[in-house]
Amino acid sequence: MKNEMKIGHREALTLLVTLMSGQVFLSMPRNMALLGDTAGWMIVLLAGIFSLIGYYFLATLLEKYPDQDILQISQFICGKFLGTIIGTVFFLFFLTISSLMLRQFAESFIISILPNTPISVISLFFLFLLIYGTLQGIETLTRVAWFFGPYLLLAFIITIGFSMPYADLELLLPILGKGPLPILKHSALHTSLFSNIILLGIIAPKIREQTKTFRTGLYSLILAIVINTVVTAAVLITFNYTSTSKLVFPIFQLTRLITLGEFIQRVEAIFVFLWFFTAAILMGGMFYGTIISFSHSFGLSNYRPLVFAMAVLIFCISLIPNSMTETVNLDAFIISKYYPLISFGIPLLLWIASRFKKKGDNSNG
Amino acid sequence: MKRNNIFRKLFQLTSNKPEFSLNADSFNPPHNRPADSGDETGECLTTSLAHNRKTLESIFGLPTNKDVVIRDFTITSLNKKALIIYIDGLSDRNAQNFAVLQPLMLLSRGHLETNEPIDIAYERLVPGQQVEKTKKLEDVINGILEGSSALLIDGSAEAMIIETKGWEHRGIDRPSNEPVVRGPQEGFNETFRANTASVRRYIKDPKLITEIMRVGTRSRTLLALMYIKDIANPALVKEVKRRIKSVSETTDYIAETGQLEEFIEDHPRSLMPQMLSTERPDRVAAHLREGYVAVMMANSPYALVLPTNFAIFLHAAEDYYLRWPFSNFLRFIRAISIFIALLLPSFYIAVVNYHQEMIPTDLMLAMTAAREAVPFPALVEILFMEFSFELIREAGVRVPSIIGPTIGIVGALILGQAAVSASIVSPILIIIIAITALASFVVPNYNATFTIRILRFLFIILAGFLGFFGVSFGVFLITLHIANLNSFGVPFLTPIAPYHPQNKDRVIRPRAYDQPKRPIFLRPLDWIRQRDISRPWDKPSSSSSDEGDDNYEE
Repeated sequence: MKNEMKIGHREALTLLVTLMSGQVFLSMPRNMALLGDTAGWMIVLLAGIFSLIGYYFLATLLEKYPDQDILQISQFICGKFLGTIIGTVFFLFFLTISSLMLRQFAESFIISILPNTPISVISLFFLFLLIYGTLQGIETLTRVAWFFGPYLLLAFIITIGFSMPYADLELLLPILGKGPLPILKHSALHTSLFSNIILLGIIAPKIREQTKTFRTGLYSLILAIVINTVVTAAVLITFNYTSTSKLVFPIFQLTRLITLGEFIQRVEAIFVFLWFFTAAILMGGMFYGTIISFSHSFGLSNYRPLVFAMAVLIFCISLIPNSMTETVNLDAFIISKYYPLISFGIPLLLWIASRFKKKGDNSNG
Repeated sequence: MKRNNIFRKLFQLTSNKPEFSLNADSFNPPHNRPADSGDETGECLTTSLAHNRKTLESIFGLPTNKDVVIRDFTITSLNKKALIIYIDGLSDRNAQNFAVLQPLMLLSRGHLETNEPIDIAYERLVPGQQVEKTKKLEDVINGILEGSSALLIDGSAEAMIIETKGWEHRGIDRPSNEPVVRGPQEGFNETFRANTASVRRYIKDPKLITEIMRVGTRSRTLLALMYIKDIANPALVKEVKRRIKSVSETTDYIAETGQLEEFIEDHPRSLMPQMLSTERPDRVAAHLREGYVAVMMANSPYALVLPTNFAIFLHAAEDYYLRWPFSNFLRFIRAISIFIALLLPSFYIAVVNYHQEMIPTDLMLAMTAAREAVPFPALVEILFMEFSFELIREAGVRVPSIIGPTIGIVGALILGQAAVSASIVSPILIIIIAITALASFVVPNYNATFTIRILRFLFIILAGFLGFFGVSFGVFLITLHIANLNSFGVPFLTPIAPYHPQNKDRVIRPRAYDQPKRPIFLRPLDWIRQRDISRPWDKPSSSSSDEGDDNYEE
């Protein structure tokens, strides 16, 4: 009954865009500034273009096997055993991202608005939403994403628009930053920025119009690339790259700049709302991915009993890193190197395997 | 297992299943009372008047029961003993005197010889327009209970049920909870047939169906289910009927549509109203024409329109009678006031407790100065004032109208003026509470107001604990909840999420001639409500609505 509910492609699109753009609230712009100096935005753009290539394989795979998610496809192509291993890899991937995101967002709220609150309180509030949302199913989350999506976008535009008076385009010079080779290298390594697109592999069978799955993913990826690039660039031209690399949450600093005459000042507290919604939607999607990847790779028919257990697991893992900086470094520079291998590498391998499999099938038949 | 149950209970808010707490099989075998008594005394009438009289007397508890009156007389022309039985107060005296007794006793002169006296009476003697012959005791009893008079003649095993309904009732009045400036000024009242007729006056269409059922095994209240046959989706009508039927068999007393609402709604544990209750026939008619189903009950001046969506918080009847710029202005005011009514007190708490940097320095100094003398934390202060305001509101409803003005004096003077001078609350807080109160009166639906009033307290507490983080948590939680709600299979947030581009009447009301399609989320049998070009003399406009609706499924 509930499991049969379908989601519209618009809703799925906003969910995916939020998944891939939520990181701009965290230290993503700062990391890019660290990596590429003035060309940080270019790294994002190129990474986006690389991930578009990676996305092609994922999308063709999903198109070839409609009504099946990436886990079922991998079990179908590679057999039960290998498929389960691949599913476990996906599960670990989602688990890591969910935990790290939970930690980072919780820390970001502590730093920005609630300095005296213990991190567990913030995390537990988020987990409550995740549990509640996931028990209701992904279609609810996508509807919420679609409901808030336009306002989130509007908030981005307002933030960037109002910080433009402080901007100076010359801060983007030298245009290539550390040089073309480092840019290419870093952007290839940081396609992880868009690795959350893999959630499309999980929700694809639920999209009402299967023919639009490809477009949904493509548009969401392009929109996410634009948002990420623009935000990184805006941060770089508002602060310079050296100060950006010292700000933990650059976009929070950006919102602090907003003033409208004498009356509206320091509206960053209002932006807490948009920040919160983005964080909750992002983590909701990732949490759903965690649970579905687990339940589908082990052939469970109902994922709901898993929800509480996974929430506890994610809560515990999120508290493992010692500090905020450690979390950020872990997410941005250490673990994230392996994200693209999972979210783009596995679909590529599956795609290749599926071509062979198809030939084999044809010769048999 | 047990823990699992607790969790399941905690999150059962999400359940999609219609839940009926009373189940026909597990309960006492449900039987209608008249049918019960019919079983005891035999289903049919007999030819003996004395015997019939005895039966009826025992059923109605005569002579203890003084409501039921039996009038014995002789039909002159037939020279037969007869009686009429009716309930005093439910029957119209004039109708009985002039349409039943007078013709039978005085006007029927001459001598008629017959073996079937009831047929003669039916064909020649009783001039009433709605007369029905029956052999069944049950029909007789039902007829009497509804205010008709039953005529029984000696020697005939049939009775005549003569429509003499007529009781004291309120006249048609202005809708007291949904007043409009522009638009029809009449509301429903407690008279069943007057209500159904007033809807029909708006839609003179033979396809407008009024199905009549009874709910409550003991109250046997009349219930009308109205829909337009070639618009409303049959599955929806069937589902509504299924739920009402289930209620009517399982519960003994349903007085009013408000009570019925609780029985048939999808999410009984949710705070959100899931049906539109309205006392305006024009509003019911407008909804019927879009494919909704309306439920009306005798004795209830409120009709239920179902399913409903978030529009219950936003749309008012007047929106459609004003020109579109005006009604959109009102819609914006309403949308803003929903946010104010829900969130303003919690914003105040959050700003005062956690985010002082948000407000300009001068204002903050003023606020701090005003709060200096107040001995309580802001949270206590605002809970106290909100509670007092709720007191005023409730007292205003309950207070006898003679001492009504007292409420104003107590509320305004003591709570406003005196509380500030006594430094119990700060004056800024009074302003906040006042604006919140005004905003909550703007919400057009009475049920929806409750949702907002209750949720406001939740937000205040969340803001007191976690500032804006708590408020945004609350907003997200509520959004998750309403995104999951269904009212008779229609998601609560349609046509926003799931999105239906063809139905533009969401927050902004499109121009009346620019809404060619009926609400597609109702899956109406006929989508087209008016021609695409209702104003052929206009130049073709750029805003056409031929955008495909991808969410539509057959």
